[in-house]
Amino acid sequence: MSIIVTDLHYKYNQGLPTEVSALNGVSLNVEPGEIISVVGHMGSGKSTLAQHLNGLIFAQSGTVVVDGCKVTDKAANLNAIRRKVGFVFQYPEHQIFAETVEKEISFGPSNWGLSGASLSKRVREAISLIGLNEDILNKNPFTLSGGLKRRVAIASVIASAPDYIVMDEPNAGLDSSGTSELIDLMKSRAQDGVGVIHITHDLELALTISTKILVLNNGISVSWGTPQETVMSLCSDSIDKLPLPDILNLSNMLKKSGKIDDVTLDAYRLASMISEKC
Amino acid sequence: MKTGIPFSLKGAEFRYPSATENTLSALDLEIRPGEWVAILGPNGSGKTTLMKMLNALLIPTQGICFVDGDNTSNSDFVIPIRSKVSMVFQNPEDQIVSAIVEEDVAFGPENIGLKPEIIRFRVKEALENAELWEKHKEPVSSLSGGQKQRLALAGAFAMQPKALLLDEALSMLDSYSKNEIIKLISEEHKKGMTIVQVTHRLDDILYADRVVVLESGKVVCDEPIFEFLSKSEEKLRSMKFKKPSVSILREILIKKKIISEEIKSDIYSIKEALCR
Repeated sequence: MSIIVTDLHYKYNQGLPTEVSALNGVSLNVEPGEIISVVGHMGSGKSTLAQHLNGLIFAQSGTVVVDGCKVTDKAANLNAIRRKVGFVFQYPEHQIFAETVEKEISFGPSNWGLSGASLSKRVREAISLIGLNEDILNKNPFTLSGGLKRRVAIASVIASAPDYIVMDEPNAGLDSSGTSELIDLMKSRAQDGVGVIHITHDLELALTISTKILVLNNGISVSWGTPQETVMSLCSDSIDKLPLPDILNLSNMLKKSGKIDDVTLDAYRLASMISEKC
Repeated sequence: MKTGIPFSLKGAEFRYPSATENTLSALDLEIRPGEWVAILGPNGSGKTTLMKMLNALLIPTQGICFVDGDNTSNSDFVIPIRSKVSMVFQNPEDQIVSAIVEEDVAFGPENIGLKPEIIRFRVKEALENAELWEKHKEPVSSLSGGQKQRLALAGAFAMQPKALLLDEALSMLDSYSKNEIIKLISEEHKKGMTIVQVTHRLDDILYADRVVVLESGKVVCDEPIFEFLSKSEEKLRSMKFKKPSVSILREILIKKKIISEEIKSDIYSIKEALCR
């Protein structure tokens, strides 16, 4: 049980004068219960990689295998793969179409064959998982605030009970409490055995929540490892246009100047390291 | 030197047709010409509704909104207001109208009847500033999410507005691109442009002059930026904001007398002070 991406290559407009190489030999493993973050600057290939994971686009070279099934445009089991791998797009609230929250969240699981009491139970579980109560089910989703719409849209993906969930920049536009709730949600999904693939340019957030991190730069994998390994890799070899989080950057500069002995993401720990030396 | 324009809301309220409560309630707000105001607040506090009011996209259901002295409820003023005020939305897909990058940037200037040579000049300048000139002939669909956000900003700049409204317009940008865009906006602000910026991240408002916090459609805080950022981490957390880590570090180091209060809240100033 895992998603295994091996030596993936993808070019947009292949064969045309506007051909752009988006992925160049990228590999990745996602096990159930892991939070894997894919980090990189704009245009680094993050979203292109994400779209391969549930067959929205297909490998031109290399392979994507979901629980033993190869993802190709000819795969007879493409529907099963898309059911296994839920996808939360950037601005998922723009996909909302139903007149009530209940109908919106029911849409996915009913398409997969759920109905009656089991459908109703699934919808209520999804609402509970995103921290809302049942009062919202009768509301018109278009009258909700941006943050609530986002949560409803995420609930509609969770309601299909995917084994893996891909979230493309899920916290864009959310306030700090909305972001905290989203982080809790990703952690709780992972604790329940779901493999979470988190696409982001927020390196600080990725370092805080991930099991492993893939760093992409211009479609090339430049680092793959635990948050600690990622910190070491990025501090020794900076990547153009992927600045380190402020505190990590400062601690790295101070370490190189011999002022402190270690690097950290935590402002309080950095303050105490500086206090010990000064 | 361009002259920015003022905004003035007097008892402004707004209620969406299907809603039972006001999204904005009895709002009094004065934004001076050339000011950079950051509008903060949790999701659902009315920030986007306020921004749409400042561009005459929404008209107050009660009270008045003046843009550069013109009442937005008078339909004769709507076109002049929109030619002075550019707005960049949270999701760039909401405002991209053309299939090709340069055509999208040219759309606004064409609509106000500028001469072709002026349009060409403005399009090139705006795309160069947004670091997208090398893609000017490419289809918009080939751009990444962040590049589309910069395209939307280029479209706004091509209109050479007197005020720029940014509704979470930086949220899709990585920190490198965000810094580049903030520098660009900052240059326009120095020349006199009024900036009204909605965001959740306090790291993004360091160039602002003033902070206005909305909660449930009401102003709950309106003060200069330095006063706002000097609030304690706990106080900001209670207002649902995350204090920038560098500000936390700076305050601890000042308290321990390791650096002085004159040191600015950026990592390079702090590093220089520590390595002296």
